[in-house]
Amino acid sequence: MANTVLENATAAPVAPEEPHVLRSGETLPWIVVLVALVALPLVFTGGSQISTLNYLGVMAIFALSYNLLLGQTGLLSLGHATFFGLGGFAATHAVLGFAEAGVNFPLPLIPLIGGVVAFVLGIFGGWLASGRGGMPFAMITLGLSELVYSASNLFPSLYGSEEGVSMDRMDLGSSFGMDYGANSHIYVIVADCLVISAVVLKYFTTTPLGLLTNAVRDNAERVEFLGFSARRVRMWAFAVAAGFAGVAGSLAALNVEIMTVNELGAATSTLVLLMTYIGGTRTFFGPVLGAVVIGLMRIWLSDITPAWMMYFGLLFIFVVMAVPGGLAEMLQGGRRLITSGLLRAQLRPLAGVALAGAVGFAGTVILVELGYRAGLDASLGPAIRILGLPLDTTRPLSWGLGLVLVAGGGWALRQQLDALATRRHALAQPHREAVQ
Amino acid sequence: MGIDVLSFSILNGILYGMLLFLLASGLTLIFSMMGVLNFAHASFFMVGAYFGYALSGRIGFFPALIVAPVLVGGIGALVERYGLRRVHKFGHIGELLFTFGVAFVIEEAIQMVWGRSPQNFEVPAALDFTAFTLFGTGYPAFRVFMLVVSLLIFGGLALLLTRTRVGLVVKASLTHPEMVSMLGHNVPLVFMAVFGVGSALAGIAGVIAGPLLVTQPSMAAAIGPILFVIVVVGGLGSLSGAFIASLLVGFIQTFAVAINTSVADVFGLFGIDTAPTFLGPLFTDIWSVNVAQIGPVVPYLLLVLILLFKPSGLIGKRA
Amino acid sequence: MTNAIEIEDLRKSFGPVEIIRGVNLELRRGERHALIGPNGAGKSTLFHLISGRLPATSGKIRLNGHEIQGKSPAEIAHAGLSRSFQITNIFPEMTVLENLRCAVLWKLGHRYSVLRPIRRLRDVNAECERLLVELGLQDRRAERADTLTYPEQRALELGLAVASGAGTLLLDEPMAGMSHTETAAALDLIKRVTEGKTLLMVEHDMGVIFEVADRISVLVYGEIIATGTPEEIRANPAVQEAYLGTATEEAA
Repeated sequence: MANTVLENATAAPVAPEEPHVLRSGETLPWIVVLVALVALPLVFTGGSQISTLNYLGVMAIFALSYNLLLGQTGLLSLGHATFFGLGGFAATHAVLGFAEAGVNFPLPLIPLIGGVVAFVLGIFGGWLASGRGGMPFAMITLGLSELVYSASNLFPSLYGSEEGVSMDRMDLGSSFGMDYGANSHIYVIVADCLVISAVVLKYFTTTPLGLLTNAVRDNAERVEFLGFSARRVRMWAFAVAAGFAGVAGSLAALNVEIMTVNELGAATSTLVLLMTYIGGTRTFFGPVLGAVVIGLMRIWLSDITPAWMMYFGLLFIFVVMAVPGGLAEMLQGGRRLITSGLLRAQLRPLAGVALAGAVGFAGTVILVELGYRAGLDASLGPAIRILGLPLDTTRPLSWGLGLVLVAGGGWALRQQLDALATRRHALAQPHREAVQ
Repeated sequence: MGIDVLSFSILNGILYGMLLFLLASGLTLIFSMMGVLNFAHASFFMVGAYFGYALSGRIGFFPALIVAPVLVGGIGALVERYGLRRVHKFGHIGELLFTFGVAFVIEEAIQMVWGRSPQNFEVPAALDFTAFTLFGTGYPAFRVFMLVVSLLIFGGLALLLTRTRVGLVVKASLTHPEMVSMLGHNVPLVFMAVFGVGSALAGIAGVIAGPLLVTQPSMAAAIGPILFVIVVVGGLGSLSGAFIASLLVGFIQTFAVAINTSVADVFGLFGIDTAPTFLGPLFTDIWSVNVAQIGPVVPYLLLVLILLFKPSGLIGKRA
Repeated sequence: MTNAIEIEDLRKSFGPVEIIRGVNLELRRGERHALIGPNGAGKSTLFHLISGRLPATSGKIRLNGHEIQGKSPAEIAHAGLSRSFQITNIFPEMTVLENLRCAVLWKLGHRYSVLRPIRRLRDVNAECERLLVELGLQDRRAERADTLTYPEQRALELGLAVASGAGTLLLDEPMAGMSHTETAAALDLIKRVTEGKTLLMVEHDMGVIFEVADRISVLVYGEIIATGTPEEIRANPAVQEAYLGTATEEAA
């Protein structure tokens, strides 16, 4: 299993890591995020590129807020998009309202309105959903989310009809020396909000309430015996998470100047779950990584293959089964491996793992692409070029190749992982003796 | 509402309720025995419908009614054996996430094979006639058939649970989940079987519902949340609660479609014909809402009400 | 002076089976009271009833004169009762220090607070420092709780109960599963950290019981058949017949 790769990377007795799950990120990720926020708009200057950056920033905030529930409090919400969407609609109506009233309200403060509205609604929703954690919580958040979604077509004046509610972000006039016509002006708001949200959410983890959210995740029952109400802890975590989701939704509204009910539907909730979990729930910035990677994949992958959603699903299942710490933990494992000085000794089995994994991956891609060409896209004809290979959905050989690669890669991967584990065991042994 | 609409609504309500219970019972069994809330349950329902559609084109509807659920049950068992069992060590959240991922992939796989548009899953010719006529309106035989199949399975399950040794073990696990592993049963095998049978039940529901509901890739996402409402409203892990809640939701949804009254009509009875605009646009929205529109909302409202007033569900054993 | 705990005709049924069948018990303030009895006598159930984990079927429980039956575990904790568990019940993914911080927050008044980071709260730090030293866990403060050795986890379990500052403690088999030397150290620790508190503990090790307890109650089949000093209990023929005879053989 691939998770052993990561766990065993620490087998060597390096200095004891800070064990707290949300503290292991240290300062490097903060520096990376800050540098990226400054550098990216200098590299990608086109209007649509900036809009993409805005989208990624919005998703990063959204995923960070989601991880307050999933990673920190151990709550799986299936309706987080409700607050993203409600925040967005609140922001949209705020812009429309201020514009109509002729108030020159500074646009960068609009996300605050969306955030506060979502926070207040989050207190109520959190109170309803937080009686129990685990599965009941997941089901109830799904139900509440469906309630809001299905009720939305009863209120066309609030949610608009099918085409949604649009607004013009320039209607509020200029402030802070920007007129908000250009996407780069919105980028300034998004980047600032991202930094502020990250700082506030990080601060939250260091407070007594933040500590209690971890305690509720670990052992909600014991929290009660210590005098605290697990429900109240969950409720506040839910409300704070909802508030930041509202900020993200407001920013999304400012970026594209339109809100539709899809933003508060199940697909958006699923997206934030995938982003957060694939990025990594055990590290503070894991969700940001996930938002960026999945966000970019969504944009690029959907251009090259009809199967992009399938790849998301498979990647998600792979992460759930094999790398529960997500991409962030993979990166950390890699970094630890390099700094441990044991990389060279493990190079051979590591290369074997990589090679076997690549073969299995190639086989998966071939099968999935053939599948889509044979089914959904059959009208495009049976001939298809996959990974540079001329394949054909009508030829058994094409399918056979995919199957052989998947089976062979899977078998080899298992062998190579065993070899790696043995090697690491051997490497760790003399060190242990030296310590004792 | 006339007596004709009323009687048809009652029939359809029972029909839809029984269909929901077919699904909810499998979900409840899996949840009670394994502690796993299977997010992919509605997806297995959808796979059942698609398999039923594909197979009835080749081997006919009635053989498909047997074969498709068996295949779906097999897929369910494989998912348990090679997926769920491996993520068990990551706890309930891990299991929940895994079944969520499976649901996601199944929805994509369905689209990969059959495309995004609805399939033309027709009522089999043998059942394509009018069973009886009531108040001048015919009732299709296929619906009667659906009702009979649901009732048969319901009866079979009831017999299985009350009269057999297997049923005893299952019932014991409903009330004392921790006890079953102590009874010396091969727990992994029991789990695989329960998951397989639960999925197969969903598969049957899919085959018989396919021609009536539309067989399309979104059918799982449409019915899944309703199932969770039923399970929570009925009380987690309670079969009888799930039964009551299924019928309740079935009636609510069919009656909402049948009643064509809007808020404005109600006010119209009191001689108020136009929306009082001074109360703002939101009120005008409510003014024009009619019952059919509220239909999809009601189950979720029911969920909120239950959470407010009886959080353990109608028949809740595990608070 | 009121008693720390007073239990009157407490009953608990699971379905048709009555597990606790009319228990009456008084815990004097400051005493160390041991609860003994054969397996299945209902000792853990009684603990669950007192601490609010399970609701009683009927009867009364008073803590420092206030009725607590039917209240939630949190409310009972506020009233001044704290407990440990037979099966280690700590926060596995958090560090030892974080575990203790959670336990001292309530009594120090930092309830659901977000006003300051926890490491800036001097009273919390000082109290946790004191507890770490007292529990002998000061070198393990930064370790995740699930990586501790078993006796260390038991010490932390005890620490969580003690840290809440409650005047009355229920300890459910604090030495369960320990070796002889570990038991001796644990006993020492329990005596130290519960100084001046009212203690009700379930324990199977008779050596421990007779060393630590001021009084002993014997619970057999959901009823208390005797309460008294260790000498009285040792001399009580009913106890010998029902329980002690076999238990001392086991211990020997």
